Amino acid sequence: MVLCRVNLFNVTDEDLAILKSFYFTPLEQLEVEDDGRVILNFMGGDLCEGINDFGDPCKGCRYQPEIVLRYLRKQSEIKIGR
Amino acid sequence: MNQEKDLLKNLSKLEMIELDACTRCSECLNWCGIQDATDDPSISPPEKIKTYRDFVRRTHGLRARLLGGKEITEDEWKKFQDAIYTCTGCGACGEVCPVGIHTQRLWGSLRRKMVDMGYKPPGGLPNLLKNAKEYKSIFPHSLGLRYKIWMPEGIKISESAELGYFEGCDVAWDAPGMASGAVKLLQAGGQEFTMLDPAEAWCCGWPLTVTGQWEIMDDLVNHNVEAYASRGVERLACSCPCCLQEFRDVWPKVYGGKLPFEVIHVTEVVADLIDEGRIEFTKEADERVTYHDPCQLTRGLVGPVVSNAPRKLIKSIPGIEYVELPRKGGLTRCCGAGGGIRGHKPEVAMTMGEMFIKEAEETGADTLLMSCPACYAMYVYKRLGKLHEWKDYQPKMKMDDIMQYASRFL
Repeated sequence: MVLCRVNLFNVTDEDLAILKSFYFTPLEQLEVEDDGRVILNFMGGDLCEGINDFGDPCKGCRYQPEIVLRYLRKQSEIKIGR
Repeated sequence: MNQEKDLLKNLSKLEMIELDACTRCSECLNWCGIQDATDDPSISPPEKIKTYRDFVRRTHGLRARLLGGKEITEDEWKKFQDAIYTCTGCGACGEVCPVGIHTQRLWGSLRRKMVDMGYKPPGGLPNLLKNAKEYKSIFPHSLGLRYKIWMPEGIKISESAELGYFEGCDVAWDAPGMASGAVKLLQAGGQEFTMLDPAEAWCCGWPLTVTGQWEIMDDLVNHNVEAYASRGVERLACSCPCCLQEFRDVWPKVYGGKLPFEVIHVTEVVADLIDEGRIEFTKEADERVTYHDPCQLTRGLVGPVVSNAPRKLIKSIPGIEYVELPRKGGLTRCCGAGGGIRGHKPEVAMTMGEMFIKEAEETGADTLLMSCPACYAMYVYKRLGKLHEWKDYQPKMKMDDIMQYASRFL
């Protein structure tokens, strides 16, 4: 099990509300940076480097809901951590 | 608390007979996950029945009728409440009961009894009712948001159809991959289906009835039944085993008769599509997998149990080496996630989880497939109540939902 700290860019307010509803436990809070990035804090353990334990890359990570995958698929660069 | 409690009110005749029928043979103790985790006979099925029987005798027995009832103390009620809620409602005890006590239903009725008497469910469980009253879901979020969490792009949903699909609020927020996988497979098989608008698809009521909170069930059931019927639904497929059990067992009672549609599990629809040659998997899995039968699909279910369809689905994926768990079907081992136990006793849930995963790992499988949002939330997303990590144990095998997994091989 790994900690996902992937960054999402250009998240709309409506999608942010949806994301906040999904990441609802105290250990899964989103971080919204001043520059608009949304950083996930999802699951736990060692930091995921971009390939999960199934071998899925971020854009096809089965642990993520579709709303996150939609943003990741739009991003040319996947940024993890800060 | 009101001591003028009628302990038999709202219990069916069958349930009263069941309370009297327990012979305390203790076979159930050999299969109870809570007993495996706690080794505490005071919260075992026979002890719960004995305690309630004793309460009834003290308030309704001959001595009570002639000389007046003997008061049940608050401490006794509290102990009973702890015992009755330290249970996942998995029904393993009922499955092996030689006299056939339907324990899944009985524990629910006794919890309802406690709530009717004014004892709120422990821990955060009253929030389920609070949320359901306000949001029509057990989660404190607008229902209208939820399809956006999991709905893949390009999925076609008909306005009305013979087949309806209900993912369930717990799936949407706790296990969205289950729903994404299900609709991808339905679409791949060319199966037309309809869904209610997200704000219109209210909670099935399972989390409420399993915790004894029936207050708004009439509203939930009547609204949902009428909404699906208005879309021409003749078969309603759901992803969540608890929804399925609720639809088949509780809804007809609350609705006041047979539902205007048949209720099935979505794996049954997909297995039929595979049989008809409408779904073909084009990618190879190349791994050993095993499958955990969710408790509510194989125990206490009104109508046929669901155990063949998921296996057919898994075995139809090329390259799969399928192995069975030591406990399967009606004897499946509870994963420890259900029945409100994660909210009431997370440490017990985690101990049960550790036993469950260790048993699964003994099969040598690379991946454990599941088909339940409670299992998924606990093992994939690690939503474990107040606790977040197993203290001394980390699962080594991969865990996934059957529909999400299968949809990756289309």
